[in-house]
Amino acid sequence: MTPSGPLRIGVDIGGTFTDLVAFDGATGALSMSKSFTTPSDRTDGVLEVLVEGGVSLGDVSQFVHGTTTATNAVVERKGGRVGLISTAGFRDTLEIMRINRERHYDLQWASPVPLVPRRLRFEAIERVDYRGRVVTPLDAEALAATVAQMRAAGVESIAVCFLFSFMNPIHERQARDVISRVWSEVPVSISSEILPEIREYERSSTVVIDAYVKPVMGTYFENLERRLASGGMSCGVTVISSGGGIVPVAEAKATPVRTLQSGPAGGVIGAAHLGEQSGYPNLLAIDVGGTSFEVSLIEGGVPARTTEGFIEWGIPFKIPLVDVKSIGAGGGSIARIDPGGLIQVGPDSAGSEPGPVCYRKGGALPTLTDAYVTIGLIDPSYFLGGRVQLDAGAAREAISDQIADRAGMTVTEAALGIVRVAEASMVGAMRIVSTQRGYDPRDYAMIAYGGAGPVSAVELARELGVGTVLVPRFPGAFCAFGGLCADIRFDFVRSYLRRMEELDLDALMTLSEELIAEGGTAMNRIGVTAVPIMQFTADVRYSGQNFEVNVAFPPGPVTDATIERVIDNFHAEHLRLFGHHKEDEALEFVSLRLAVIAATEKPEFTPPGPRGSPEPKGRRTLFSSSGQVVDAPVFDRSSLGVGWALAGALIIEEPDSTVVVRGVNDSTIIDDLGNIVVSVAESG
Amino acid sequence: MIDRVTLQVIREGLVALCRSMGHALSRTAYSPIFSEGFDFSCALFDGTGEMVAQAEFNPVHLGSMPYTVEWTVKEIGLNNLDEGDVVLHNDPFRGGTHLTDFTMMAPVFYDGRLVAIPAVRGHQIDVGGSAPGGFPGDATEIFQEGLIVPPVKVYRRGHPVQDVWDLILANIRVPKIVHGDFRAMFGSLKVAERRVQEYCRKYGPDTFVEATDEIKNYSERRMRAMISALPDGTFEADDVLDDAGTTLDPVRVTCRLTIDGDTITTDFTGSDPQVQGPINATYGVTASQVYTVLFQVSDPDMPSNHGAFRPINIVAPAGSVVNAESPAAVFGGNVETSSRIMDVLLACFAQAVPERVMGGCFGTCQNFTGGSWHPELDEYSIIYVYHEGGWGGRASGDGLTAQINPVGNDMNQPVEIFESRFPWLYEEYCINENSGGPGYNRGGLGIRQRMRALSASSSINLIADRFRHPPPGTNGGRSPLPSAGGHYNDFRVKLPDSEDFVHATEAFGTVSPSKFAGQVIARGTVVENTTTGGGGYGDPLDREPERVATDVTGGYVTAAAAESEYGVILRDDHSVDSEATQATRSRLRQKAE
Repeated sequence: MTPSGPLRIGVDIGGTFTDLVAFDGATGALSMSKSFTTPSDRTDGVLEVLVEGGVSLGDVSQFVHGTTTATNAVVERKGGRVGLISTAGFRDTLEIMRINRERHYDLQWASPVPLVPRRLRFEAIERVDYRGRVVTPLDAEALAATVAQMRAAGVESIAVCFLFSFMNPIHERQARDVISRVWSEVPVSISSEILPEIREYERSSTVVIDAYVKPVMGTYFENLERRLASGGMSCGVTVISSGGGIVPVAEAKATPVRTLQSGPAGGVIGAAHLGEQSGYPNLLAIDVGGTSFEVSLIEGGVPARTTEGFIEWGIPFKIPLVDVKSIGAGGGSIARIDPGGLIQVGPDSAGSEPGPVCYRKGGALPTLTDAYVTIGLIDPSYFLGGRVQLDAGAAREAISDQIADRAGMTVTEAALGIVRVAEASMVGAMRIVSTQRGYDPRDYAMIAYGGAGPVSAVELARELGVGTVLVPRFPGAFCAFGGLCADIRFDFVRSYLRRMEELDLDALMTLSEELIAEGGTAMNRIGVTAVPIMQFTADVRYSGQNFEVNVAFPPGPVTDATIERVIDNFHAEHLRLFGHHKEDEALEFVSLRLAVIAATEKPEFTPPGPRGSPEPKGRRTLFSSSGQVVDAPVFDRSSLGVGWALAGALIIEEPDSTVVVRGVNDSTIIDDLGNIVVSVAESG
Repeated sequence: MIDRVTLQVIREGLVALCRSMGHALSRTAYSPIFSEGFDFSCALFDGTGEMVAQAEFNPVHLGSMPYTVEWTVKEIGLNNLDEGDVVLHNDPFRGGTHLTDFTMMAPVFYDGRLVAIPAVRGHQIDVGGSAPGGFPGDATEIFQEGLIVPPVKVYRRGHPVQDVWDLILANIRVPKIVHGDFRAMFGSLKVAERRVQEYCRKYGPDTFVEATDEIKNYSERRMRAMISALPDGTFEADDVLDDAGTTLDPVRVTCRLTIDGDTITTDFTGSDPQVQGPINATYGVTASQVYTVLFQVSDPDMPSNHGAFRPINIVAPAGSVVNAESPAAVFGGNVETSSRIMDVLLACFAQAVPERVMGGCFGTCQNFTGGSWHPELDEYSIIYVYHEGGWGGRASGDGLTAQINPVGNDMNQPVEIFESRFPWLYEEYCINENSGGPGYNRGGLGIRQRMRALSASSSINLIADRFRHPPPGTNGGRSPLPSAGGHYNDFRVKLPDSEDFVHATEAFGTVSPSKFAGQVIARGTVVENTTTGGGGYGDPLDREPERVATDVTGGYVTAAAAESEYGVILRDDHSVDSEATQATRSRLRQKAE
């Protein structure tokens, strides 16, 4: 896995574009290219972007891949035909879900279609109780007959989820043995391996997603490997995992659920790495594309993590994840005058098809992007470096018809209003995310990427009280860059539900040894010989609570002192997260987690050297955040070198993004790594 | 005057603030009702006690929270609210719903001026009274239902009023859990306080207060615009509750809806007088249903605040089952009568805008509660299980299967969480097959849960309904068929020494099969809760035969019902026998004429 040759490649497949970032180890040069994503066979887009970037596959020493293929398979319901086996009496868990609905008052709302239809949901006679004791032994004979039935029904992939398998996996393991005995070829996913955690619906959903995308992902990865190899690439493909590490493609094929959100995770890893290097270890990372707005938090150079994600409302997957919260806004968010006479932006989006009005692909409703174009935040003739011509007139007309006329405003007022309302709802959503995680945005710098991120970032930062905004090089392809910064990483978890005063230290010690062994095995399997980093954490809660707080668990022998540290860590973290704690309250230990990490060599790229004081390529009228009309200079980013600095409102354009600084009191520099760094004044 | 972009920025910000309150609450709560179930609501009121913003957590709290805060302000007086005060309150006859729903509120001051009152309402797992976990199905007056807490300060200038806390917690069976949940509620008020003060700093308190006023005016305009788009007219509907628990007589709820320009009147005159049983609804409960249904049929995204309620006139005679007076028992009013109020309102709107409503819902929350000693955890524990069921078919498609009653939007408690905490073992939790009302768009299906008691002795309570009167269909759709036990929604037990499931009337000798309290069962008893599906929408004989075939293959509809209700004849492999289907359908159509 250690890069042997000079060329390291990161490729990220997004909804609209497939991005490539190449790092030449010999020269330190970093380059970027883009091509359109090809939904019918996404490997086409990968091959195209390699050609676009002039990459000779024979020179490639490392290929890191982030992809949304698994997510798309679920969203489009194009996965394999899964058969699910549940504990007898519980085959409908997948359809009953959590009995709530996404929209409170909408009587026409439709709940998500289960990934496994009822006729392919089967049951096994077995039962384990809450302490992991066998209540009813697994009826293997009946199960064998069920498997034959599944085979006859055309099942391509089997998922198994039994109640309390996270406390005692014996029946799930026996079931897997029975399946492989009577039908050895069928892929099997068992819940106790993928997610040994409490809550049967979430666990079922996760194991079903794994089984559902397995056939699709297998085909996709094999196809990709074959095409790259026949193009002359000799190194293996590695894939960014949801947890923000990289794993060999074989691991991704075996447990594809762990590659969900792999692209966004790459971006956050890149942000963390760049932040550390630039002196900003605490970062709020925002990734804004045409249809999405994603927020993550990085503290002390370490991305915040979670264990729950959603593919769509009601379809959760619970795996170790870099915490990327999608807050459903973006350039495609539609603006309208609501029945009460106020401007409303979103939550619906024109997406990339038909997209904003200015794309001229059939969109008739004005969007945030149309507002950006109308007030000059985006140059219609330089979108994607001029690759796509935007129709500013059409955008203006739509805003005039749909917003300005109806509200009695000028077009400019309406467009400014759309931008302000959209930015306010982004800020509101970011605040909710911050409440959930209990941090204060003012303690952080912001890093902005994705095509649309740098347009609004400075204003969002001002509103949140964030003092610094960082825009990295190639913000539009940043997720592809991030993959090159990722370490090899595996995450493991074991449930161990006990009140703190009833902990069996020996049992806990055994558990930690098991996890270490498991981590060692995984690293050996992929050929890592160096001693990996082992990071233990524990999930702890007040006895009786239902949600846990993840805290550091000291390494080494498990003693009373270990537990005392864990308790201290918990109280401190609970106070930080929720603003209160209660030291005399009893605690419960819930699970032990282990991250096994093998560090990789990070790209040390050469930033563009000093270029003096270039002339702006033009000037544009901007409305500053305090409402003043400003004549702002427009620069081409490639003309700006390290050390460049300028005060006041300005625009910096590059082919994949536009950085807009709207504050007359802000100041902007290019730092030693080539990042644009904006000091955000309290009042713009 | 405040410009409308700033107004929208603040308005959306205040809704986000209420959502933040809820997230803080759910993450720190003790009982699964909060953290898993989300049975709570968060709202922001202005300095005069009128609601300006609310987050979408639980609709049944929607309309009643304003009355609670209003009442508190009236009773305590705005001048008597100091910085650092927190008021707690659960009295149904002072704007509340039922005794387990506690509202906590705190004034927020900026520069000494009262600018806002955030409030949070949550369902506490126990409130004393005769039934562990609440819901005594045999109560005849509120004093049996638990501890009544009128608006009292539980924090005074930042300090807890220990005497009051002690008094409240001494009346609760599980004080540690309830106290923990109160702390979580308190924490969420603190989240709101910080944000309100930030707004005042940023925009100035005058602009903030002006914005809260204008937000109400905005919602009023929006609501009037939506009402104007509805056809004018008067529409009437009535329905019944099975019984009041203490007798078997049906209890009538009736509504006359008048849409007139940009105002609406819902007149419940003619509904039965309040009854000697726990199904009386307070005014707040009735108002909640009116607002909820109006949001459902007009604008599901309507920003909920005081202004939205102004164009709505509610006539609910005092002393009736839809506006009960003390000392009426009210526990089930919030969950059962509320459902029936929603049913009659939707039936009225079905005549005005059929494409916007749905067939009748399963129409109960089927609250099953109980208390028992956990033999292994060695502690007293209380369960509170509400049950989901099927919703009616609608113009856009089949009804929703296994959904919480539309009066709420709570989540269920996972079996694994439940069993880790309580001495019960689930034997089954599945879809109640064949329970959807037949229709061109079928009603969604209900569910069935069976759980075995593991404690030596458990005391159990039930408040449920629509056992004997099924949900109606709409637009030619039909009511569901009865469930296996003979009722629509149903409750049965299998006693340890028996092979058969029997109704509570037989097992315990209760008056009502759907409402009782304090029945003691032994270890090994299996409890079965069943819910029915929703009513159908449109004529089932028009449903495409392939859709019926898919339902049969999936086990949602039996082959027998496919024939008798839909007139669809399937071969052994579930393919449609078109000829036989045509013949059967024309025969059924003739019969219907």
